[in-house]
Amino acid sequence: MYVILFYDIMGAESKEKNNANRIRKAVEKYLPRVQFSVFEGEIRQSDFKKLAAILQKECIKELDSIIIYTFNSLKYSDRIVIGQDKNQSLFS
Amino acid sequence: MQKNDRTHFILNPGRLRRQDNNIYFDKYDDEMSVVATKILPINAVDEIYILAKVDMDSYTMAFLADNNVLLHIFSPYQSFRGNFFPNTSNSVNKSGFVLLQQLRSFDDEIKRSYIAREITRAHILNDALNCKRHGVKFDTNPHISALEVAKTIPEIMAVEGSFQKLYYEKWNEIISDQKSFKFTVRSKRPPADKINSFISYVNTRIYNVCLSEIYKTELDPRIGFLHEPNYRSLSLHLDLAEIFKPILGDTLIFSMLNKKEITAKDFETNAGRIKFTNDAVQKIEMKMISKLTDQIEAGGQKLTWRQIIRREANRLKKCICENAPYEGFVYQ
Repeated sequence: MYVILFYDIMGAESKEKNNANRIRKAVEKYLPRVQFSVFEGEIRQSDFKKLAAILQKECIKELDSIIIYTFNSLKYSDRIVIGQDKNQSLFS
Repeated sequence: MQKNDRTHFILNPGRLRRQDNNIYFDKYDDEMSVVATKILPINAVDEIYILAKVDMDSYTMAFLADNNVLLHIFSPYQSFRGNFFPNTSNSVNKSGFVLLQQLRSFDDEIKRSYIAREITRAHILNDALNCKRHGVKFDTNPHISALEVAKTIPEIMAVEGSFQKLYYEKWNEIISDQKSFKFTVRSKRPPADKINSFISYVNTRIYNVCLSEIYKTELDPRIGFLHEPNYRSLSLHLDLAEIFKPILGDTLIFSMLNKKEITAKDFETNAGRIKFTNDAVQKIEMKMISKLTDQIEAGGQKLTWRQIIRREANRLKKCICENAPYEGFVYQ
């Protein structure tokens, strides 16, 4: 399963605790990061459920927003990069 | 979009370290100072191939072991050095019964030569299919009939050796760029020319894929059937790779050379030793991964090539433990 995930987490000034770091660390364990708040890559179905459960718990429903696209097949998709591809997920 | 096979390749010198229960890779420049940091998602990585000089501490290795990440370490000339196999309770081979049965069938002359013969037969048929695909005539009947009368392991090895020599001669008819990739003789340690170094690199890669699939089953990779186990520490993955080398490796070499994706410029020569440049390694691995994540129909199921290798290992285990008839995988 291929996943594209991006988020906007409200800063600490508008609520009592800043959980942006906690959400970032949770997502980084499952998906490679391609831009500051964009992650994409292959993930197992079971791992995706675990990740979704963590995000459900951590995010504050009134302020934060997390959007996830999932693909079962990449046959009709094409990835075009203009400029630098910051994170090649296979090589370093 | 690129598919991932849950592997990661480290091609630049740097340092692997643990932070926030995750793996960070710091890339070094020539003066050993950090130029870039990258996070490897620990739950999305199963294997790490290290093809450069990498610093690591035991704390990181313990963490990798806890998460069942296999490390494959290569020399600067891309020959295999060894691997780091996690020894945790959920990864280590626990079945004493399978180990005993494997030892017994190794000692049993009839059973051992039966398994070795089946592996060689699958190898020959897969090779011949490669030739047929590229419109090259190749008669396998004398080899198959010679294989059927072969009783002992050295006889089977002799059949395989003579077949392999003829097969490699056919490569000159398949590969169109004869100026830099003419095949004369197979040489190893170190490979003497460009085509030999290409074959060695791709074969090493397939050995490692087979090895990591064997680690997922209960078989012991130290005891092989076709290959004598005392030549090196591990040998069962060499047997298994014998079946999949023609399907995965040779087709990759033919298509990459005939489409001119790999040319003579992609090799670096230094003091008589030949190696790939980093760009060439990336090109080959992208092709390899798209091949390994391809799904094909086998036994009424859709399986990736990795799963087919594991299925083959499990069939071997079934033959060893329950005396089930074993038949090597022949790609149709």
